[in-house]
Amino acid sequence: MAIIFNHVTKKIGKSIVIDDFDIEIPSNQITGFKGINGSGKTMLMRLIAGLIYPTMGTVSIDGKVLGKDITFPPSIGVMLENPAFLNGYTGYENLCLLADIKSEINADRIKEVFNIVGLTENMNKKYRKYSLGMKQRLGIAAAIMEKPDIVLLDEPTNSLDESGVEMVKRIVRAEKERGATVIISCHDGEVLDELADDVICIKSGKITDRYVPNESEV
Amino acid sequence: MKYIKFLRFDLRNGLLKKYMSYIGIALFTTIVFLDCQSVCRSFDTGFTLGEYFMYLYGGIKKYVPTPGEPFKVPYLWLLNHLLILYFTLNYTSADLNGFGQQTIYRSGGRVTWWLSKCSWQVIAICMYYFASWAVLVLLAVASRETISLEITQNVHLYLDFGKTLIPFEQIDLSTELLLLPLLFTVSIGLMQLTLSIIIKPAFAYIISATICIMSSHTQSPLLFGNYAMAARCNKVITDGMNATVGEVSMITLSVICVALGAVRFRRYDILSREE
Amino acid sequence: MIRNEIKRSICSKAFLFALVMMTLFATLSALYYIESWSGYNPEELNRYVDAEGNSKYSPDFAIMSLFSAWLGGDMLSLAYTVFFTLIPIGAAIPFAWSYHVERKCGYLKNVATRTERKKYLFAKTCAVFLSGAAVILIPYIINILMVSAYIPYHMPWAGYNFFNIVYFGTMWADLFFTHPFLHMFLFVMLNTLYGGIYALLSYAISFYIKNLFAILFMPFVVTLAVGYAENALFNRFRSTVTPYEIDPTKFLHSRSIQFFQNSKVILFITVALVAFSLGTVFIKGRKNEIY
Repeated sequence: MAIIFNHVTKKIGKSIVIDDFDIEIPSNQITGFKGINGSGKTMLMRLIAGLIYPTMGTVSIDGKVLGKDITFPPSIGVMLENPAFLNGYTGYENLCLLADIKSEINADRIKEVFNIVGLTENMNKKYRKYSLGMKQRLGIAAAIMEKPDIVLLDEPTNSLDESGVEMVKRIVRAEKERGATVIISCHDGEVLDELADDVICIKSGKITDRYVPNESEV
Repeated sequence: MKYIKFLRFDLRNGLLKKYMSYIGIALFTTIVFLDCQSVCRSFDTGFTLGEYFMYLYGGIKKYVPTPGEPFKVPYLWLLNHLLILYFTLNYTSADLNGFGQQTIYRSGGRVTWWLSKCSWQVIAICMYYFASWAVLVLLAVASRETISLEITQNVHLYLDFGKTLIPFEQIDLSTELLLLPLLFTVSIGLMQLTLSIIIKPAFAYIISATICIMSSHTQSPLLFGNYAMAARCNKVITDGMNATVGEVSMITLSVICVALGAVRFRRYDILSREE
Repeated sequence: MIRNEIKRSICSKAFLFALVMMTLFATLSALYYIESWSGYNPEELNRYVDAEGNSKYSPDFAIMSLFSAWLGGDMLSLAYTVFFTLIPIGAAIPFAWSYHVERKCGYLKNVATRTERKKYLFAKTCAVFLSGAAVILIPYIINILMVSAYIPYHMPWAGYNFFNIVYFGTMWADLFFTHPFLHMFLFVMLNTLYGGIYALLSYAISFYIKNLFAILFMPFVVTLAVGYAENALFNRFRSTVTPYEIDPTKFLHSRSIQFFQNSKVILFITVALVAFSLGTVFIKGRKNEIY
């Protein structure tokens, strides 16, 4: 699913958070967003998810304009900022509630996803008892469980230990192999350069650079 | 289908799990029942359910500013509406700032989410009223009071209707007595819900409270709370508010709020906002 | 630290909103009387008053006086009703929620590692109190300035108590007839104090309840409940007890709106509310763990 930003500008109040962003993100590849805090990476992901709309310009998914032809991308999995779930439910119940909306997957797939993110032992624990790392893993599980065509992961390695970071790398590569378009933002430049096919550098809502990691080595 | 799923989720998490608010309503009903009973016993008379509802929903007679006669706030009437509006205040904004962000993009459409929240608001308010009525009936049965919506002459012992009261034999209030307060809370609740996505929920509640207070003070067709007071109804007093006009007005307000909210929400930026 | 907290409490949109809201109702109350009593020639009423404020021609003019037209003497307008009923909310909006928000977002952890808890709580208490008090005081000042620009003062006359409703034996009643400006000043100060107290109450509630709306609106709802309970109790015991006003939004008014204002009762209520608020903040607040 190709994602096209056509001269997109987004203002929140008086601040310009995305400034004339004009780019195409090709499908079936891992694209990394690199930038300091407040550069606009999360806002870009919100624009792709259809949670916010551009002040100027358009965002289109496979030729369909968000906010005009479609309200949300038809097949997308999102993990933005601190993932929010329901405190009174277990991790498993939280994912069941979400899966029930589209009814595309069954209980086996949910359990499989818990296994992938390494949360099988904590599946039946109440969400309010999850540590920060466990909450992060659950957020990733929610984003990938329905095998969406677009996967957005905003700082997925936050709060994760070394094994968690390796888990994220495995998941991202597996999603690409499955045929999804993966967009990932990460503070750790090394992780991004290792994973991404294409890295877009962002500063103050503008593109400052775009490169293919390890191209010179190739 | 997704609307039904959303609604089912909202009813479970926004209604069934909020048992503390039901306890609050039950407590409130019990206290008012005992108060009403005490008043009637002090006049050495029993009361019907209809008279209890008049006590709770009757409000206050039309206030004419007169030197030496300050306005006395109808606390009971205000508490009934403001408590329910308070219980239904937080759910939608909390969902939009939290779990709702996960569900809304899965739904494929924003209006589905909005309509389910509006439906939740209406059902929640109705449920609080039904819970209150259920507790009341139980208390009336336990106290062996008359289970009837009939209003007798005893009601003017504790509710001042002023001088324009129509003859008692001509008073027929059964539908309006229960329907109008419910409709008012529903319409103001939907207005509060719509305002909470335009301005913050706290300010939406302040506006709701201000409208209720203004309605209690000033008799005006633009202040819909007037229609929710039996003491200002044209079926009780000669110069009262037309109940039918009230029903139509409140339903119209509700529809406008839902439509306005849908239009606003279609372009609403879903961000994690501070409270 | 105190200066920073006070600056944050006053220089904020929340303070501005609360101030505008309360000032709007205070202004509407003033306009109601200016429109009713000053007519189109504001100087006309002044012709009937001498330099000491005594009526020249008729004691009836004692009714149409500044002392009946200011916000604390207003008993008729919609604006006064809304103003007094919304005092608990107006006072809480500026800064009473700040402890809850700082605890929730983690700012409290930063503070706790940099200063003594006692200093932080003291600074916040001062800021909360001052912002709540200011939101009530400023509208009063604006109201009095507006009304006094159009309506002259006349010494109140006890013969018109059916209109004034200042009953002998109620709090500061003698001052109303002898030193009405002092009477006005004392009630403005009492209202200002209660603006601060209501803000402190909301602030204290945030140590027990972690819900923003409960923090903002619980004092308001409880005050309504007190108003209802007062009526209910009076109905039950009216033949045996003298009813004294216990609802702050009624005893803050300079007239006996419903029941008699008794200074001992008001003092007791004030001390109880202050003790609860400060006790919660400085005892429970110092022991609260920070997660």
